[in-house]
Amino acid sequence: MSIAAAEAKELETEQASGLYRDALSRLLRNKAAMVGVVVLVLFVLAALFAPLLTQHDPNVRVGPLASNPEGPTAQHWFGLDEQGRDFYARVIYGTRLSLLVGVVSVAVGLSLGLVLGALAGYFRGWVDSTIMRAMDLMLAVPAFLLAIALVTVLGRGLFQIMIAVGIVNVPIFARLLRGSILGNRETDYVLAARSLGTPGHRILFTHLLPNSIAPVIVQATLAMATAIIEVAGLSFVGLGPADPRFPEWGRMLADNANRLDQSVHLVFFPGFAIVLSVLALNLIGDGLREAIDPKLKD
Amino acid sequence: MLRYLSKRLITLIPILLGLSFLVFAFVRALPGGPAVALLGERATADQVAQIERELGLDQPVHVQYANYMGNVVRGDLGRSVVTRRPVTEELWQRFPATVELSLAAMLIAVLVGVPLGFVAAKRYQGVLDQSSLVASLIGISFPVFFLAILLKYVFAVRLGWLPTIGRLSVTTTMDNPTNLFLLDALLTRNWEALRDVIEHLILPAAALATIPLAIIARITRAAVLDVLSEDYVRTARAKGMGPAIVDRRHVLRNAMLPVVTIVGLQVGLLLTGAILTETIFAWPGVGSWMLNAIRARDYAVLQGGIVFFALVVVLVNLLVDISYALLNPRIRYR
Amino acid sequence: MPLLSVDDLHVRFRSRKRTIYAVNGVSFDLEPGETLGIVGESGSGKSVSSLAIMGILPRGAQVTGSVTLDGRELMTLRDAQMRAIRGKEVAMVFQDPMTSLNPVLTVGRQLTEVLRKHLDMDRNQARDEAVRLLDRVGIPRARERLGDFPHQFSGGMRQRVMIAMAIACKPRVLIADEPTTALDVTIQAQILELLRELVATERMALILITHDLGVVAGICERTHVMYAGAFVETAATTELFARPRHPYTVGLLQSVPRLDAEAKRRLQPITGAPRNMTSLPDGCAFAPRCRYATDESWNNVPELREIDPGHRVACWNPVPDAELAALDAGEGGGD
Repeated sequence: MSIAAAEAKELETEQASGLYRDALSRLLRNKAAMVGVVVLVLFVLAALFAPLLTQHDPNVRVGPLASNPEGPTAQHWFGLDEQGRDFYARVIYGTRLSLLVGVVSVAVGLSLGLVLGALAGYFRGWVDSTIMRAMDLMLAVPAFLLAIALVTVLGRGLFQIMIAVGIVNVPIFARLLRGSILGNRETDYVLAARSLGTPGHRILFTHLLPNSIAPVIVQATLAMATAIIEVAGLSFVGLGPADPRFPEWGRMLADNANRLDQSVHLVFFPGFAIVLSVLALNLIGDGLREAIDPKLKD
Repeated sequence: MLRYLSKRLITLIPILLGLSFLVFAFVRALPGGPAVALLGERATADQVAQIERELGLDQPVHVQYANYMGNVVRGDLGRSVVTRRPVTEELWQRFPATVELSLAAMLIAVLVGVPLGFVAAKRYQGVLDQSSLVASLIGISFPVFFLAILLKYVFAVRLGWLPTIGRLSVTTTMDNPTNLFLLDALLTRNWEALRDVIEHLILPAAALATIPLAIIARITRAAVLDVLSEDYVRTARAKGMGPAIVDRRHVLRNAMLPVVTIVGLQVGLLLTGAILTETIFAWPGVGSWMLNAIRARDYAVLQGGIVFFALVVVLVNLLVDISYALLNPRIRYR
Repeated sequence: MPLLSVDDLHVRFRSRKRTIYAVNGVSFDLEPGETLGIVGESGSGKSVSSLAIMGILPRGAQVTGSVTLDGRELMTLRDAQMRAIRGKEVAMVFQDPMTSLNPVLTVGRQLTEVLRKHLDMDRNQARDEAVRLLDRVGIPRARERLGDFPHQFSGGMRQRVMIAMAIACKPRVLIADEPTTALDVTIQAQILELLRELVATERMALILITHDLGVVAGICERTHVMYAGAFVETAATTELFARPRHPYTVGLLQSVPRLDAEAKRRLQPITGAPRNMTSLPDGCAFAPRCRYATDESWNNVPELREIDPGHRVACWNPVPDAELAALDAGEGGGD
């Protein structure tokens, strides 16, 4: 046997099974992240199959109007709210709004942000400066305040709220992608591609973008978590979706913050619904971050 | 260092200008038009006409902007629809309460978060470390208003240990030279009032502090872990320096650099959290003022609040940059 | 009695997934004032050995064996006791002066802290001594430079500062781990000269660890060649260069281009790659890369045996003289 072959045999300890497979296996082994996935799946199922999970309609009164409605009973698992509606149904149906807003607003922020970031990172020069100045400006205003301002101007329709929350995310994604592109531009493989005459847009799409996907996915997950909290916050200050047909957890908290002595269930359930859904997303996002680069300690 | 600072100051100007333009655009974009917005829905036609003349709405945009900026610089941010008082006057009256609450929350977040992160890093992958990671994730998953409600429920409604309304009991009297009640009580040596003030401050400050605490703990942990694996820590050990000295002089002094930056960035979070928390505890600060303004469509106040918050954030960021430059010798000396 | 005596040192790093056998049975003695070289490639375990002697291995390291200083066993000391020795009796200079100095402390502070800790000096005494030390290692305007930060020094200057810190308490043993690797070639020569001079005047013993044979040639009396965590050849440096016996040593010497060689002569690199350290070898660790390997090499671990006075080799089939001459003349096959 030649020496080289003997070498190859001896060094056969770790085969690189591909970047994505490595990351995936690391993620699957992360118990906390897996818990998050399970919880998130449960929420998604609750949103999709809400009518199957409860026979009550969240907007129909089945009990009396009361200033201090009663708590959980065998018939009404989460009790009734102050308008006599089944609270369990309202909380379950509330999942739909939260998840919908989470997904759509992040999609909005992501697409806009990625486009801006890609333009800035690829073209550099004045394009970069202008875009980044605008991003800095947006970041100078605290996110929630920006959301408040946007909703005030755009209105309280569901679509407008999703846009508002989405826009708040744009600078984060723009910065992320720009940073990633800047970091990868000077790598040897990109220089090699350029020296071979590969056209710019080709380089962008086949080399630069795919390598930036991973942190974007992480950020998208975390952005979804903040979106849910932000919408709840908007509802809390009275700027949530104006349509009363959509139960929203944040508004439930706002409406019932003063009924704590008798009807704490009215804040307890929606509040923890928020916490659990956001926690699930945070666990997943964290797990993704760790799976992609385990050397990173944060 | 001077060059670094002047660069930072120069970038400040376009940001301030940009912000002022954004607010200006915001007011112009409000539903009903700026006049109605600033006066309220029940304004008479005459009042509306007058305001429109004042605002110069018939004039070109850049003139309007110049007028607007002139007003802002003079401290004229309009009048509250609800109370008819100048916005700047009410702002001046309310902001000490928010400052006190935010400072208390920041203090809690730093004094608890930094040591927590440090110990977690030192006992890497130990019980404290893993549980602190989970705990901080849970911490940032709580909306601050829910946390405030929960704290109120547990400590006031159920246990009755702490009050939930305002900064001071009705029965307590004290002098307020600075309007920062904690400081005032100390200055006037009013011990009874001091106790009352602290009792009122604890719950809202704790609620507000939780998210920044969780973030600061995580960042500290990451920073300390990074520093612990640096070569110069190994050198310090090789010189025979004891663990306490290595931790203090070598590890912490370097780890604190990124932590300071993050602490500064938390201010934005604190301020917006204040909007939500103050309401729940009837805390008479800028936050609850803003919340009421939103509900009452008092856009003049809303504008004033946004200006206030944005200014504070920008200033704090500048402060953070300055202190970072002071702390990091690589920037301070060439 | 030797000043420092290392006997059968083993270092393992255990993690959940695997174990790394970094050092496998290293033994050597160091006399007072002696200069010793340890040569090996990255991953050979040379740095780990020195960290083990100092007692500053990272967590998760398991060390067995004995290290005695003046007859006193260091392995059984508690860390608090070891701290009195580190920096005072035994000191170390590290490879990268850029990262080995604390960026937020002045150079003066980093010097005075070790002086005050071990020699109990007060602030002024320590500052004066620090100035003297900086001067000693060749840093101009020492007193002014005390208040400067590491980033305000050039690479070579920083390494001088590191050396100043190491010799501050007049240690009896100085371990220099790749002290010149991160520096430019011209600076390398200066630093080595400084070390040589310090050894002579301060009467320190020096252990110089490096992957570069050229470095040991000028300064070390004895040299150990290390491969895969163990010594494979030890000899007086001149002897080692003149008559290397272990195929690895021969390979190392052959890999260096020579000014006096004919233009057409091919370089003889060592084929293969360094050994994977997650398992212990069944036979000679170098066998897979060795031109002279025999069946015995594959099946039995060779031990260090003396083949000439003061010259020991761990090899079943050491390179004979004739072969050496042939290689020198540029003949002998490459793969």
